Amino acid sequence: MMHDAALTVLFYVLGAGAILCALAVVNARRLLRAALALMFVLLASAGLYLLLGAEFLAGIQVLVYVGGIVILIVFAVMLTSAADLLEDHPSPGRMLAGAVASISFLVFAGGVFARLELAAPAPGARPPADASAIGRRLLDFGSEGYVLPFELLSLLLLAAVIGGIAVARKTPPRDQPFTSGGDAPGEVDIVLPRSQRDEPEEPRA
Amino acid sequence: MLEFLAAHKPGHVEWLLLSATLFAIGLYGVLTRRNAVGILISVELMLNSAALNFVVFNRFVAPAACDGQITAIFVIAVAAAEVVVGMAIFVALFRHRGTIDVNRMNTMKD
Amino acid sequence: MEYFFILVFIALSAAFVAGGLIASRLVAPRRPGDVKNSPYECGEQPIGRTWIQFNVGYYLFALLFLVFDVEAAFLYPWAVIVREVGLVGLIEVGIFILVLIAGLLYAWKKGALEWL
Repeated sequence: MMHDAALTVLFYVLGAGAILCALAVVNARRLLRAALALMFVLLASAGLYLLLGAEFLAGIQVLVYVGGIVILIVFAVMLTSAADLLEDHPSPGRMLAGAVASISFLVFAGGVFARLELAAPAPGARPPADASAIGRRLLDFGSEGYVLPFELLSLLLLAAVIGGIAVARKTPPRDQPFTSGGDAPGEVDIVLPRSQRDEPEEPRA
Repeated sequence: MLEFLAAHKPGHVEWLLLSATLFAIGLYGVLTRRNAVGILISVELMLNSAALNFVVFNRFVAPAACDGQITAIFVIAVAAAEVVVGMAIFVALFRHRGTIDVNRMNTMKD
Repeated sequence: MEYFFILVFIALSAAFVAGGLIASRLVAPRRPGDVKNSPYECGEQPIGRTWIQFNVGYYLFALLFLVFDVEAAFLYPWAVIVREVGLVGLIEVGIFILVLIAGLLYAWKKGALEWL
């Protein structure tokens, strides 16, 4: 009884928080704020995973999503120096199109969910789906195991490392092909548009 | 009060509506943002809601298994790989073009 | 209800921070000035704006961190059943780690690990 009541309260509190922060993600005019709001959405989702009994997944969510992906997004926002630029509000036509698309999706999904009849799960004590159960399935060679996706994931991550480094790194100077990890001091290879430059406006004649 | 709250425990419809709402908000962001990093942030929102959906079905359809949770973990890992490559492309694009406004990226070559 | 104390902990810590901020806003006198509003740079005169272009080296480190963060996340489920799965599990995880070490070697070779 007490448990169910707490579950209800926490579901609505976390869900409302996640939706409000998600609205901030898509409406914030500073991208850094959008990234911060995304972090709160992900933290609220970790709380929702806990409510669903997925403790290990909640930990992974905080470890990888909040601790890694959000950090990378913040770095990319800094690197593209768009952080100080207030993004213009989208044009009314675009906002209307986005709102129509997302609301019609929501109505369609709601209609489907309202008719959805889920087979009641078999009653009885359920084994805890903790890290050890996940590990057994992940490393299982059998027909229900996930060992092949697990190994393929390492190839995906390898491709991501190589692709990310090859794309983001500067082209090294020809005389030292392997040692350019970043910008050489004093090297300037982008010309910022005037609105982003630091120098004061030239006096008008 | 306690009885009322306990009697209105969220069922699968409430959970699925929550994740569908998050997905719809992410879709709105993808359609309205002009900055490429902003679009990728909205895509993260959509991926997160999809992972939440997997866990909800895991909980309400097959609570004895953990396939939904494993799939959600894979979603998170693939999202990480996607962000790594996507952000690298935006950083390189910004260096070459000085902008990551998607309306102004209409050529594949310089 | 096993998370009840964690909830209490989160609520108390949030209340602690919010209480400090609100109390200082209520009690402390506020007389802002040009000098007080400028960012503190160890006594130097700040030059330029706070938003500057960051070195791409930071991004490469964050990228490597994220990939190996995911790797560590996938090692936890193995770590709790390491005795149970024995040698087979060790070989599976070994392949996983070896493939990612190739990525680390690539980063090393390309100089992404050097701080400029």
